Amino acid sequence: MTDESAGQDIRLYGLSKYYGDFRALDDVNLHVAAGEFLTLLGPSGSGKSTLLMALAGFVEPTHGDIFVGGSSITALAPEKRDFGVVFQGYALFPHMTVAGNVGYPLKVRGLGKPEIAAKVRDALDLVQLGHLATRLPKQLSGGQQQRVALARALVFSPKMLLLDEPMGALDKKLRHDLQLELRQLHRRLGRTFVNVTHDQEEAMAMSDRIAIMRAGKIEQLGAPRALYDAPETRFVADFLGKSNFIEGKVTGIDAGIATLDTADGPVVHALGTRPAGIGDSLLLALRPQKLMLGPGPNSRKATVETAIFLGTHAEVSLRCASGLALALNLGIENAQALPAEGTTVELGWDPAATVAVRPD
Amino acid sequence: MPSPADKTARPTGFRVALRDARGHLDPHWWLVAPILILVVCLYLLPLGNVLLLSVSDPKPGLDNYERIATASGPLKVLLTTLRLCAITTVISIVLGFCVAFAMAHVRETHQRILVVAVLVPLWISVLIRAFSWLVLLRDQGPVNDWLMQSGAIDQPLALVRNELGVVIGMVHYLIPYAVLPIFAVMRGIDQRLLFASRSLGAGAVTTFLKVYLPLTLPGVFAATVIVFVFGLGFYVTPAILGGGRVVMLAESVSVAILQTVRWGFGAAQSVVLLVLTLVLIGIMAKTVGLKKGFG
Amino acid sequence: MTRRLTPGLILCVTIAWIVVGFLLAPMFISVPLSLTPERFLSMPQGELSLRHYASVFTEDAWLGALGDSAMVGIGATLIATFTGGAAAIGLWRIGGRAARIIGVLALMPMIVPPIVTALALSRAWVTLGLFDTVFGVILSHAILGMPFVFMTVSAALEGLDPRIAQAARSLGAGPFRTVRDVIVPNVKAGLLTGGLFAFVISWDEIIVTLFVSSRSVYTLPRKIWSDIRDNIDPAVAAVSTLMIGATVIVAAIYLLRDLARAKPKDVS
Repeated sequence: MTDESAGQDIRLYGLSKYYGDFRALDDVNLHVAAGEFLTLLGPSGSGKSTLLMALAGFVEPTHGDIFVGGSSITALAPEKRDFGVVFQGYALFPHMTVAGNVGYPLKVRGLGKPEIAAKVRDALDLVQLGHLATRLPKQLSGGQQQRVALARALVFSPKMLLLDEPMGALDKKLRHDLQLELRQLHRRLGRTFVNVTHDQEEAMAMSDRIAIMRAGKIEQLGAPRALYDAPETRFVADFLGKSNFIEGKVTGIDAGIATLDTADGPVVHALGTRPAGIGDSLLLALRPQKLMLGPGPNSRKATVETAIFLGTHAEVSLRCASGLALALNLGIENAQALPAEGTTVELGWDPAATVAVRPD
Repeated sequence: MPSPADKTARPTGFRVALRDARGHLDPHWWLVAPILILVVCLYLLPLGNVLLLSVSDPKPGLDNYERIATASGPLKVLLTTLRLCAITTVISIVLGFCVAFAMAHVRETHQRILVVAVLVPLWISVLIRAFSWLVLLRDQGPVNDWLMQSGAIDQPLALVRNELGVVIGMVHYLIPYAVLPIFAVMRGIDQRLLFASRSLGAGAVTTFLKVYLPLTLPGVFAATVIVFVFGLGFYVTPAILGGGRVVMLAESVSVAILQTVRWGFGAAQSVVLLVLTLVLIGIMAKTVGLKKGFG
Repeated sequence: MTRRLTPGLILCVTIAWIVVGFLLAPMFISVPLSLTPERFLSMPQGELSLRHYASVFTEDAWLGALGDSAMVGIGATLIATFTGGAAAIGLWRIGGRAARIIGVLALMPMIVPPIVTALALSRAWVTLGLFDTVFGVILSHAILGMPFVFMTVSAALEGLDPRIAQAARSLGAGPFRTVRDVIVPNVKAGLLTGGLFAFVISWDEIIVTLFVSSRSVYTLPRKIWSDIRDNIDPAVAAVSTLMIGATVIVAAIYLLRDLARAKPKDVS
């Protein structure tokens, strides 16, 4: 695992893939930095897997180019790209042992037997599976299969690693452990990782940056924290964590604080870096955990519809006079004093808690 | 070199399917090439030639087809073929349904034994099966011997070298083909549906007629088509067990080619046989799917 | 699952076993017939003889027929397995409408009545100079056996994750190396079953053979065919007994192995 392959950057220019009239990828432009861990996150059918398969060479783009390390690979056959790929369902060769699977890319590259054996041992040690080298894939658990797939994709020191829903088939607990491991592996190897998932927690846990995909396009790209705190669109605000949405018209602006007229009365909102003018209609996204019981700079009366205690927090569904539904999360310290269902409570939130997002 | 215009072309139709967006031939077509040579050049072209032959020999025109439809000899052959096929199909399907039903509802070991017992005849040469029936059923054969010794009859029964013999031989050949598609469908029926029907107050007979039977219909239909189509093409069984007295289409073709050397007429009869077969199989493929039929 | 014995089921099981008897019993008639000491086809009266078995293995006509059948069968099996298997794999990788159309075309020789195939190939082989040659008969039988290989291999491929082919490509194997290293080993059972089908079809084939050969290629079914039509030599009964015996032994081995393997499942 030499330095020259320590990671290369990827640039996508106007990448599109059409199936008849359906646009699986629609003019995608993206720059993945060398050594970055980027996750493509989106619902099914958003084009994230198509994008990954185009990178791997299994989907021929209708338009556009893919550059890796400065040279175009758009026309390169998959076997010539030198990318490690971890497939959905792992795609281990059922007729080969674990060692056979991991050694296969080296065998194809014409390495000698002793060299293959040594590298296979290193790769299996890397994923802590050295003791299972002679097993067949079907004799392994899901988590072990995933590690074999990982070892197989890394053993030939590829320029980058592509992961297609690598945790898809695993249960929640195991998924969490493997996310941490994968993240450490990425830090250690320093290669470029591109991961595809529909699980937002996985994306947040592992990635340097997340590209949220929707209908064949990248909706928003950024670090997990930035995406979470400053979603640009309603879709992003709702897909990456839940949000409440409040519509209103700006009636006044004073020192970066806008006053909005909404169905349930006035709301003050800190504009931050997103300017607005008087008379503009704004859509505000508000995280459920930023809503608080009791009065605040913004106040509302609402009826409690359901209140559920979930251990780490509690979820309360509320309805305002206008009919607007609001979700509120209470931290564990407040969850003991859950409001009774059917009662009317007072809520409040800070002007800085809301973010203006583009409607769909 | 691919032109930029190629890249914008939307993938539609056969031509584009051969080549990808950049005009590269998918290398996997090399794996398909041998079968294309074998099937297209060495099989479909000769078949097309038969079609051509039927309207060109001895002279161009539809004379051969007219003869099939009007001349008494060929017409009798056609009707005999259809009649025998219909009779054998009905018998095979009824018996096949019972066997499949038994198979689908007995214990696993019992089921496996039945399946193998039904499959074994498929692996035995149709010639040998026809030969066995011939010696069994002929006048001096064991069946007539036994019946005469037991005093049931004075004269040997004419069991073979007639339509009865052909029907026995054909049913024997066709039953496995009737059993397998029906069994495949029955095995896929969700038993809970039957329980549901019973729990809703339907009796056993009602449940069978109103729930079970309709669910098996795709299998019965596929089996009917396959058995009938195989019957249409029968050659060896009628030739041996019919003793020259029961002439079906296939044997008529053979006589036209090998004995009377009327290629055009034999070709026309072949085309009739081919069209009947393809239409029936086509209907089956459209309704229940090719795969189900050939299970 | 409940398996209650209803009157309907009892009736069906009874009919099933009668049908099985009807399917299997007649074939054993050739056993006593083959042991007759007479020169003509008859039930042995007391004395048994193996003379007809001896003649099958010593007479030139039978040995020649066996040899021709073996040669044709092996040749046809090889061609059918190669073409049918390669096509099934290729079309599985290609997919789409073109693949589906070719998949149906590949099944045609199985669907078309044999007499029609016989007529078509007979004409074509005369034109190509293949009539009455070993290669011509091999090619005919390969065409007839190929759809079965295509079907069994396609069925085996259906159970295979297409991503393992992509995985091999991503690991550096070209398309053909992927087929050799990854796909073929996983459809071996389909190839073997299909090959077995192709061989048995060739071994039993009579109709097309009658039309594409005359004197220089004389397979076993042709020899049996002419013997049945002429005078029924008891040697035919001996050949039948041998062929049925082989089938029954193979079926019995299969059934016993199958049942032995199923046992643990029955318990659980």
